[in-house]
Amino acid sequence: MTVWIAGVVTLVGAVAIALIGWWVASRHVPQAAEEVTPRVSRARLRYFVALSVALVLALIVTLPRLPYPAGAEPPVRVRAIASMWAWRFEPAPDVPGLSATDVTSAYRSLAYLNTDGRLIVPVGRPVTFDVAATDVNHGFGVYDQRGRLLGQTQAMPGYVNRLTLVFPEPGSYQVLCLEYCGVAHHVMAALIEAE
Amino acid sequence: MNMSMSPAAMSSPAEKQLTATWAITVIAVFLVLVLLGLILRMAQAGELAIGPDRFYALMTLHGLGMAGTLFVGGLAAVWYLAGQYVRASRPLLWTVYALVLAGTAGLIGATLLGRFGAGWYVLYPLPFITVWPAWATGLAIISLIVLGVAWLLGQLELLRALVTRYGLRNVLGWQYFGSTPPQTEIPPFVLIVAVSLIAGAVTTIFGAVLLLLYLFKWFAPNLELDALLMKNVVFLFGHTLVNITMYLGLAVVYERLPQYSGRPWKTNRIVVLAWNATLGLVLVAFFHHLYMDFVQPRAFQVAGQVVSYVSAVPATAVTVFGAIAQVYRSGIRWSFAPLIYYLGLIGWVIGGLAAVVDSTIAVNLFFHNTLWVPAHFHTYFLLGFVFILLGFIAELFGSTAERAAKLSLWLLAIGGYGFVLMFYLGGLFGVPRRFASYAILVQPLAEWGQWVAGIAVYFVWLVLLGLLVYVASVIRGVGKVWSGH
Repeated sequence: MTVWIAGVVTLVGAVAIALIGWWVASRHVPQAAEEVTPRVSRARLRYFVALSVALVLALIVTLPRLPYPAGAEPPVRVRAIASMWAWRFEPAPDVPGLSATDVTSAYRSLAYLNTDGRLIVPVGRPVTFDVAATDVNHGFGVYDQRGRLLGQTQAMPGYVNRLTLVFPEPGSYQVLCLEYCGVAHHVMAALIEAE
Repeated sequence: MNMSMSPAAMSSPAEKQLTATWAITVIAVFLVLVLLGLILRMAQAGELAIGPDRFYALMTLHGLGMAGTLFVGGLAAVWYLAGQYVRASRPLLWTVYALVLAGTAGLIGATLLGRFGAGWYVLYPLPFITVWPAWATGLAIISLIVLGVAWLLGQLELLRALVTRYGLRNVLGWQYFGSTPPQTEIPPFVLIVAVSLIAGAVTTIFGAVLLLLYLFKWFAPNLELDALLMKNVVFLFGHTLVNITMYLGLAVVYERLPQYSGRPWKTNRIVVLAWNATLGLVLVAFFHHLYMDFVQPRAFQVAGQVVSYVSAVPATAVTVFGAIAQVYRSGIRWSFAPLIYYLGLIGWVIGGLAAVVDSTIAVNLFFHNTLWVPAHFHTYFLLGFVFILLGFIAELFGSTAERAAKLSLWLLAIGGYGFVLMFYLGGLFGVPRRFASYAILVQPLAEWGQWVAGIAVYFVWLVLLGLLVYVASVIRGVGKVWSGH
């Protein structure tokens, strides 16, 4: 939804800019600068007010929607570790005494690695990824089956970025590297299953 | 076109030849770099099989080359136009030229021969953890240092010349807040160039520190640098470099458009306020490159968005409306130069809009490192700054082949907007940037990425054709400049 709003704003804005540019340039009847300047100044003042209001509104609407960690994290946590050029997942559920590969049904609502080593996450619940890297900057980007990006964060050496995602439907999700990291950057992928 | 108003009529043969040398070099290198870009898009479209190491080496050369070449093109253009007001050292600018050639040759060697492929950000620690040989990394670092020295020398000398004549406070227009009329009037050109060069010089020093640290690490691989700090520094340097390149182009428009409109474009308090604000804003806005580093201090992230938004105000309210006041009902005759200057402003604003949209953190979560990023910067570079630079060069060589020049403009505009549209469409759907191939993407996205790349290739051919027609339209003027006219 955010993406579509951004796209529409850009498209409408670009077309408006082009049309206004054309309109201004194509007024052929010349007028003296003394007549034009006050009109342009008035228009500029109206534009300045309108733009300032629009920007303030946009800040008010968008700044509360930050993807950054806030407060207590949900218990479904996974460590996602990037290296050149593969992803490693370590479920790290916040349940005392529970191991990362415990597949007991009582804990099926948490993330775990199945017998093939694939990461399984619950559908519809927030899953927090602690994202880091062992070598260079990578980017942790999660795409759904239709190729839509759910969210991303950087995977850095020496730092942990915490990203919380909700996997809306059961099925396979693809992790792609979204920070250029060398010759195999474009094939550095992994799969996550939501159940 | 009224030749008596062209910049070519206003300076000595030696100055013209120096600027002409820069112009020819910049155009030639730009053409080659566009070809590299074509190869990249063809590879992404699946039309060309080149190995990933070569793809990423070409990508690195294309990015570094374009950022650097367009910056020095802007610097040479404003240096020339500043000659009406001040005398900057011509031997120094020749030295800068030689250093730029040397640095560029080094980068070409590092990338084409050494397959150095760290990307133009050279994001730490990627240059040092490599499949390419260590000598290629060393050569790239040293070449970038040579380029940085050249850029710093050029910026500081022009700034020195301006400040020597006007004084620092006056060059920033602060006298406009004193007596009316001010004791020392300055054209907007001087103000904008001063703002650009101050921002540029300061951040080039940060770039120098980064590159020296890289050099130390190349000699002592055990040196550990903080990856987040290095990322902040590289974006402070790179963000500012490309933004001031745009501002140098705007300075050219402020200076040249009045020659065609017949109306003066004067400095006043609002212009001074806008450009002084821009000086501060451009140095903080770089935080918008680090939104996806969730470990950055929250205040930096919010500052990045607020400042990026605010910077749209002086840009549009002052520069755009200033241009409107120039053009609206002025009786301007739309010959090639004013037309391409005006279209360049439009391209800059459209690219700027896409940038401000992406500078919204909640949006950046979906657009960061997708094709939306090259979409917006190719818009304000190719359809903004390059248009302005081509206009300046046409004026320099006294282009008289108007019909050919205008044909080139059509080709460049259609080719350019079509080319960037394909990037926007890719980014809107989340196609990642800097991928040598889209094959691994989920099937609908892989097909989409490849398809838009294929369409983009056709538009790049149009751009190339437009550039060739443009060169043909100005080439007659080259001989005249060399013979001292």
